[in-house]
Amino acid sequence: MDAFRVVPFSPAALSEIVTEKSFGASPSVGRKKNVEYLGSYLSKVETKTIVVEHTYIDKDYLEDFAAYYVRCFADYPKTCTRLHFFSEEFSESEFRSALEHAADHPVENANYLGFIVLKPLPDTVIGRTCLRPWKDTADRKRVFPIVCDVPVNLFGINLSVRSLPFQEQDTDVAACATSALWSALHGTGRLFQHQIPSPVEITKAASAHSRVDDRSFPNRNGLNAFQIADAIRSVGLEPLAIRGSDTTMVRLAAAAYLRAGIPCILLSRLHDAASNVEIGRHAVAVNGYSLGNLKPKSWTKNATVFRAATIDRLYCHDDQIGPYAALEFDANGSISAGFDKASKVEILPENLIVPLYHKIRIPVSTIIEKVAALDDTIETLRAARLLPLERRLIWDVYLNDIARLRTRLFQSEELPTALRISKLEKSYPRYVWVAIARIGEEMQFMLLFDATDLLQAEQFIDCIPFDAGLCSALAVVSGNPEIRSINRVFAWFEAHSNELVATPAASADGDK
Amino acid sequence: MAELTSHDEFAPAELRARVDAWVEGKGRKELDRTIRSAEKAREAVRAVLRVDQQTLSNPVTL
Repeated sequence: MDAFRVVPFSPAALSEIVTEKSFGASPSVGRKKNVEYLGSYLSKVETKTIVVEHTYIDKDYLEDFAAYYVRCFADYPKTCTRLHFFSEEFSESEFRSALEHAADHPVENANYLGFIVLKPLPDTVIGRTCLRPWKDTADRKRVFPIVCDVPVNLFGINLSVRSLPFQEQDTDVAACATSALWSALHGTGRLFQHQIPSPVEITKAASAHSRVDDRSFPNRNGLNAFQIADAIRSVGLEPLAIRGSDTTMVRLAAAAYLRAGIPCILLSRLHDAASNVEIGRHAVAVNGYSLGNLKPKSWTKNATVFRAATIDRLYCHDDQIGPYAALEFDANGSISAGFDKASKVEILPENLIVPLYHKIRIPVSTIIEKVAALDDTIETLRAARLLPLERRLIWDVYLNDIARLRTRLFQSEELPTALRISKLEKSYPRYVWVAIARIGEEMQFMLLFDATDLLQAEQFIDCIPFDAGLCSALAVVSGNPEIRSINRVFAWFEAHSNELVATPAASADGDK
Repeated sequence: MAELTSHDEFAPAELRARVDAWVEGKGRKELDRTIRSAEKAREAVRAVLRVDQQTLSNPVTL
């Protein structure tokens, strides 16, 4: 048999290959919902050709094979199949000519959409899957801060795909929480330089302290939040749990950490949308979001308005559906998931678990509290017509490492040059919380908080003024000692009043 | 970007005078209320983000 085969893409062709490569070649495997989703996803990203790499040794499968499958009586193979997807049509002879160093061939990175490893198992065959995320469209901008380059070598041809790995849960060595953890730890492994465990290693770490009522393998009882936390600690990270019942806060917290490149694990209850019957609990790895047409509104009555409330989709690796599956939020914050009407489920989040580097000590809740308190005072001053604000501020809160933030400031065209350079030259901690006050899309000022500081400390370290009018007025208002004493941010404005009030027009426009 | 002029109600000197007058008048009560409501806002955020311990032991099985 040749080492490869080239097949024109169609969802049916994908389904046939998946069936053929499963152990026992059961047709039901190719008809599974997640295979259907992958066929639909690959169609939507305009896949034209599949290259089937018949023999592929996959590190994660091999770890699980060595730890578990090899000791079964059935003779499960140790090698996998890898399917590569291209957005260009080409034939087997054209692919062969590419291997023969043809000058002009279509097997190139620009056309490469990623790969799926097929595990030689009876049912759960979707192994490590690295596909490009959804592209932006005219009416929808999508943000996937976690994806990064995954190098691929296809018979000597170097390719790469920007992705976060996904794989289907294996009910023997892994449950859905294991798959979500595996994806999330791929994201943090590259970011925080820790070892990336295989599913079997994650399940072992998660169940190391479990009691006798739960078997580790085969893992049919799933994992709870404590076990997920144990698995996160096993790679040297610290788990942070955030209550998920308020869907604005879930969006805010998830997006806040995602923007620093940190994926989150969302634990939810699932209800069948049609019958409203509880289906069970599920875990997904949140890896992207999309700001839709939802209007920003306060998270509770008369409270701070967060921009995260306009997120109408969180994208996640959901092993029940597939990679980059959408959790859709409606205007009331209700969440639904499922890639067709028949499979729609209602999502009721319980907890968001964030795997964090130990130096990120200040949680998002602390910053939200500070922003809510400051916003409350600014609202009082606005109501008294002491600030030139016609509408309430909209707050954008997120974590950033200082390199990302500096790059953003370096590229900023909104800041006067002198101010931009002075901020670039300043010393900041490795991780900072950023809180941007906006009116519409216009940035008014950006607050920086030290994310590595002590909980008992103030954390506020700097402010970057964008709008000269508002910042000048804030500086003047903060000249009053009673107002200044309310919040450190007012004290900062007062301390910088010489720069902000003296020549506002020049500092805003003069030296860009 | 809003520009400040000497005729603007937000011109520095005029604004400062208005701020001081406001704080001396009804503003003081407003500021006291703000300090209390800021603390309530903090508490509300804390309450909504504080983990419900009972949910942590729910196994995720799907």
